[in-house]
Amino acid sequence: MRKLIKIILTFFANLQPLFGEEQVIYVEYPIRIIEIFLLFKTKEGIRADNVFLDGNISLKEDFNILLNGRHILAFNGLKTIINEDCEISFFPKIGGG
Amino acid sequence: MFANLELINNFKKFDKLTLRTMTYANKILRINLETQEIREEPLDFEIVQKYLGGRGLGVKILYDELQPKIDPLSSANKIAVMTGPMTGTISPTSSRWCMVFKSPLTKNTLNDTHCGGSLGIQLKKAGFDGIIIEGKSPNPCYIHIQDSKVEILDASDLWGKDTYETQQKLKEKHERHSVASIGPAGENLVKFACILNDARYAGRGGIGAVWGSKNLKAIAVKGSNRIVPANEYAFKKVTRKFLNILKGHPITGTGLGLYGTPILTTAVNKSGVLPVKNFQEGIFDNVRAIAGETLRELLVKQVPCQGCPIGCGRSLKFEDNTTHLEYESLWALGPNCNISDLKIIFEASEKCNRYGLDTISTGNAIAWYMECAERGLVSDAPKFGDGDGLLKLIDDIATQTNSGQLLAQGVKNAAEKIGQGSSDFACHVKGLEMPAYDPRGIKGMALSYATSNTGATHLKAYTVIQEILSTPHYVDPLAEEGKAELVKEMQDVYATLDSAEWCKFTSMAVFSTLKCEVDIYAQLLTTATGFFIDSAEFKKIGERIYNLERLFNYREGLSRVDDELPKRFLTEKLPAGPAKGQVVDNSALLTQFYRLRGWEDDGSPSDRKLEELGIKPLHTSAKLQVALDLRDMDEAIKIAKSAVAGGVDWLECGTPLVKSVGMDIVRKLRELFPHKTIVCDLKTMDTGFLESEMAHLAGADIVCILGIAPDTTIVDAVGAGKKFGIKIHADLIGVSNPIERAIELEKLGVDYIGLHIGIDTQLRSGFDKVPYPTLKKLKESIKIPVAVAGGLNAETIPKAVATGADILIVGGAITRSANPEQATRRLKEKIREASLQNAKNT
Ligand code: SF4
Repeated sequence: MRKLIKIILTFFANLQPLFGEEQVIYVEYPIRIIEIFLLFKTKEGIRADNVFLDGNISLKEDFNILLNGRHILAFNGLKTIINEDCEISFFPKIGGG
Repeated sequence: MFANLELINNFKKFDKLTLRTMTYANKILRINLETQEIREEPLDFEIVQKYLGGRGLGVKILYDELQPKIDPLSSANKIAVMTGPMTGTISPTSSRWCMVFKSPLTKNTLNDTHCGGSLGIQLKKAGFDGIIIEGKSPNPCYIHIQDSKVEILDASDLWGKDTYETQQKLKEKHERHSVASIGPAGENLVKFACILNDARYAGRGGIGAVWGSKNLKAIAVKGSNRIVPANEYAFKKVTRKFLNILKGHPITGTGLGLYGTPILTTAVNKSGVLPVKNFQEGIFDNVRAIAGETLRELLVKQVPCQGCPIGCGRSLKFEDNTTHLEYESLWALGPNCNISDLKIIFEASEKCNRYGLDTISTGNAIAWYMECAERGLVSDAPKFGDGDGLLKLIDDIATQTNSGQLLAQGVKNAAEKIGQGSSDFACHVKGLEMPAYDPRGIKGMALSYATSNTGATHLKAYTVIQEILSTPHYVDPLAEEGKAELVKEMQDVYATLDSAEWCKFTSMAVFSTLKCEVDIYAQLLTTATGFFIDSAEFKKIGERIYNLERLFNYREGLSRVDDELPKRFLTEKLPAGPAKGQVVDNSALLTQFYRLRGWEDDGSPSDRKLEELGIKPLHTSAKLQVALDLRDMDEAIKIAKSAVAGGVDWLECGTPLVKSVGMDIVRKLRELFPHKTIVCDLKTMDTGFLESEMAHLAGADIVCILGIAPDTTIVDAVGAGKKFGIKIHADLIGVSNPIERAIELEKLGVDYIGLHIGIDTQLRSGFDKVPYPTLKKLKESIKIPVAVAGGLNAETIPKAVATGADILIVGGAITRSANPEQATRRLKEKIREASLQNAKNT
């Protein structure tokens, strides 16, 4: 039997109108973060890699992605391997204070 | 630096007249509310070039004019209402102005509180760069300025009115004026009362209470002059470039305008550092109810500071309540009190705005009190989550009634009063309550809060930008590496931004690496003021301001212990989330930070650093100089390291050591201790210029020559001192008429006199090794500092200090001690005690 993990994808600020507040996907593990972009879409049906990635290999500068609250760069960036349930949060560049 | 030749060429068109029309009004207004005297004073451009305006100039004025230890709520306190060279120009975000004052909340630090209302613009247009407000008016009053007409008017009919009503009444009376005012909280001397100007607040540190203590209700200003940059053409051109940078950046071009500052809520929460229940937790479960995305739906209109293209300020409406709500207020009155009901938060925010209360401090005080209730320390406090209790406490604080009387003193004072360990969870630094980022999960902010000269503010070095918002790029919030450098860099840059009066939000678009690039700001300042300010100078100005503020604190008695966070952050681990298990341990970072800053291990600026920045050292406490009269380089270095760890002020390469290992010892010590004052005892008897130059080239700050040397040698050494910046210490060893010779030496220009009983004499004499009567006479006869050497130890030091010694030169008591570090610490403590006693006696 295939083993699946649950990934909660949460979106913030002006990504919410595009993707909604939250999407849940179930995927086979282990999986690298970069592969996840192929598995969810905007409300309009545009695949996520077209929004977030530059040339399908690097994250566009305008976004930050957190894995369970830690920036993915604290791990191995887009190559970070996920093998358990988790939450991935997508932020555009925001500021304030 | 200017990369653009066209700009440089335009500078060449300057003439004296254009320089005079730079973006300064060239005048400061001094108003004494007690004597009703109103005076105009010319701006001192020598000082302005070093401190710019705004915060920097305000700090310089108050540093020079305030007596140490004055009560901030007494008439002796002064308020510097300052504009900066950017205020009122066409540069984006340039409506800003500030007030510098001694803070009643922290008691012994200054505070600078900034505002985006239009008062600064009007003040500059009226022809003033700032106002220094002194004394206490006998009756409630307000200041009215219309161009050159300045008057102090009666405000009896305004006293008791809230901030909105006061503004409205004064605007009706004085058409098209900008009005800043306090509300009832300021009148009632709530120590964290603030000021409203238009829809923007000057919030922190208790400025409203200082106005209230002076019976000053409001300031209304209108001006009609034009503000003209030194090089208008170039300024406009750089401004366009600046505007494009802001518009092109996702934060300043889109995000802040769309969502305002509350958009931070979810990002900070997701990172596990949104303080909940008085910083007990870092994740707020019901964050969605108060998220920036939710609040966007409640937008009535944007309320930007005047002329700001970013426009983060906003008016929001929830059910019947309309308010101006920023991220900090939302957090302080919401999650920090465990409240997610927007109706309550809006009402609480509106109450604070009308009363004129700093929401950060108010939310902290109430959350702390709620925790006191949770722990059973008090019986009359509401529980976490009790919205009605929160609203009632805001009323009580503003009117100083019931338990509001206690909380109106700020959490530090309130906790000291209640005791029972409640200081451990009173979340403040130096008395100023902490903003909306838990320092346990953001190591840069932990250092930033700790080392802020004004207490726990996020506005002295906002490393959240890099650590949480990953702008310009990601920095691990849980790592310590690089944080001391980042905090220092930001503190310096922010100090200059605060002095030019730009909004710091612009820096999110401007910085492109962790080095905090400031080229565009420097270009704007140069074209506006006509001073040549490149990036290095820009940062140097900030560093100077930061050091002067620190010196102010040091003069008030603050030291390293005041750079610590409350016990909660040091011992209680964050319970959950990505920063789970984290506490703050700043000890290593703090030492690293002090070294970077060129400060002593007790957190005070070293004389060397101050002199480099053109600030006169304080000399409140006598200096401890360790004389390394040894033969071996390694042993000397080992002892020097221990002495430095023990807090020694100056390191002396003694004559035997220099004779034994040469000037290499000076070079080595300079390399090891770049910010320490190093004395090179050459006992020069001839070739004064040459030997002083040699000492300077090796890295010494002070060279010792013999006072008995011929005048020609002394004059040559002094000449070298002037040329190279090395100080000359003249040693009176062997001089038969010390007083007479010291007077001559002072006239010849030496910097220090050394009263010195030589080692050979010490060994043979059984009598008092410090000739106290001579020391006393010396102090009466000359003005330059006197150093004393000759068998000094912990027993003899107090008497030497009491007799007036400025520098205590200690050899064997440190170098021959079993534990030189401990011995140094003990001697320092003795010196500090004796110096304090001296200060009391005088
Ligand atoms: S960004 Fe916001 S705080 Fe800064 S000047 Fe503009 S409106 Fe004011």
